[in-house]
Amino acid sequence: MRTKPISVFCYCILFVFVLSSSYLFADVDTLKRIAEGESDVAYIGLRLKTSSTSSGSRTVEEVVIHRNSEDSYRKFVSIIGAPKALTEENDSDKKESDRERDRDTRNRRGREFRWQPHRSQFSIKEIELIAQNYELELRHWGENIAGHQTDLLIIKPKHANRSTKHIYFARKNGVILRVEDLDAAGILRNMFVYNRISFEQNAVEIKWKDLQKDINPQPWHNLPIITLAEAGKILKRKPIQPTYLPPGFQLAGLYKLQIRNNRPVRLKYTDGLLDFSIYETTDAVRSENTNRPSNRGDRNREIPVVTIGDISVRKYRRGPDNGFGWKSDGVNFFITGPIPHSELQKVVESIIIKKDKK
Amino acid sequence: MKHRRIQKHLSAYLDSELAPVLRKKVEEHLNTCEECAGMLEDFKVNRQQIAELVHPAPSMKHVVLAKIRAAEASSRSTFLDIFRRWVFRPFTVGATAFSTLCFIFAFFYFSSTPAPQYDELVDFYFGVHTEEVANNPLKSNVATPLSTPATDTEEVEDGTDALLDVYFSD
Repeated sequence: MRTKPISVFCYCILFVFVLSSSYLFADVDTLKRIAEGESDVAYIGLRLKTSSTSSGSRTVEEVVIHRNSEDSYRKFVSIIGAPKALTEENDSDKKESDRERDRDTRNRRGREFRWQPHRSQFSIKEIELIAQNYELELRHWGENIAGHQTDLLIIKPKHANRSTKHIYFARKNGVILRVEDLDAAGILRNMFVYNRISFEQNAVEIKWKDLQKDINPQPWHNLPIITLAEAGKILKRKPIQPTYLPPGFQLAGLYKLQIRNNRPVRLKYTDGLLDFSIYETTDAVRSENTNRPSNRGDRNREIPVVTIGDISVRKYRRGPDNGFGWKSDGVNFFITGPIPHSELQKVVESIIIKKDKK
Repeated sequence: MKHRRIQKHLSAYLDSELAPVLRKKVEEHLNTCEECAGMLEDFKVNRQQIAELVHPAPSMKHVVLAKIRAAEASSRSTFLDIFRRWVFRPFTVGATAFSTLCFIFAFFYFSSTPAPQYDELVDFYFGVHTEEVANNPLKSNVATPLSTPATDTEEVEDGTDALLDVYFSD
């Protein structure tokens, strides 16, 4: 019996397809497995974490203990390097800026060297949105990280001005061992990698018992999720939603916040990987006409203002996040997120124009 | 003997405490006996003198204490009287209720938390976002390319040169 060439070709295609199927269908299931691993697998480890902003780079060593989704804490054990400002400063400004930075660093370090909750919020909806707005590529990388064989999931954006993420996870249980965040220009901005990690349940339990007094676990309070009607009751008017959203973004939820006696409502939008939020409040805010940024060394610089319609809108940047703030018809609006000002401004314009039309 | 028995009853006779039969016998004897009648007169005189005796003057201590007690009693009654009159006046009741309400309102107004500063609110908004992303390895916050801090122009600069200058200038 002779084998026809066309059959050989078909078998070859089928073979290649089977081999590559894991790459082609590396989608929601891989992400779900990673999310489950991060939530359910107990581990304790030491990781190196580095981040770059326009203020400079910062690298820290962090210890993480994850017993279950409730008992999960992290703590800095050392900080390497200090951020450097990119803006030019004269001598007096520099001294003042240095003093403020030192004070801020001391305060922050006091907090960071204590145990802090380390609870990830993985929602199926957001995972599905990642699969929808990003290309997922699974590579059986096979390299060891902290002694564990890993696979690599690359999350690449389908839309412009979005970040790329590389997730290296333990092949046997899906726990993330290394993450790299690249900005829209392809520059590595955030990264963490575990130097040592143990998945032994007993080791985690013993360490948890030792550390429990030091950690002093507190009950975890999620931000209270509310409905549109409840948000309306808080604001005493219907929350205003934008008519324009950057491609792929959806409303993820509404949340009730509280700062002193002010109760802002947060509308969170996400494309799965990136989030931006619109905050609305009708409660009293003091000295809202200030035009000085409160941010550390930026006190001598005035906040840029753009005019949209007949409303002055203040423009902010804090680390990797951009923001706009304005007041209209007794409502204080603020929008913030790690997406470019140009995109955020379109969202702001859609809110202001919508209000004007009303 | 008869004199002595009669004289024993003279004091009771003066006080009209004798039985009628005995009283009659005493009277019959007094009419006939000068000695016993004289004794009865002496009794009467003595009693009158005792009754007319002047009481001794009270001591200074007693006088002062008595005055203090009297003053206390008079002032107590005065205060109670005034209080009763004051409390049950309609105007007083209204004024008391109004001032109590003012006190409660002032307490809540001054003890309530003040509204946040605008800058504080901005810090809070940025903080909520940063905290959430920092804990979630499936989130990202680095879409915007690295550049110099925000200016009023929207052009995104390539920050590479500025960044390298900072690190190599020393």
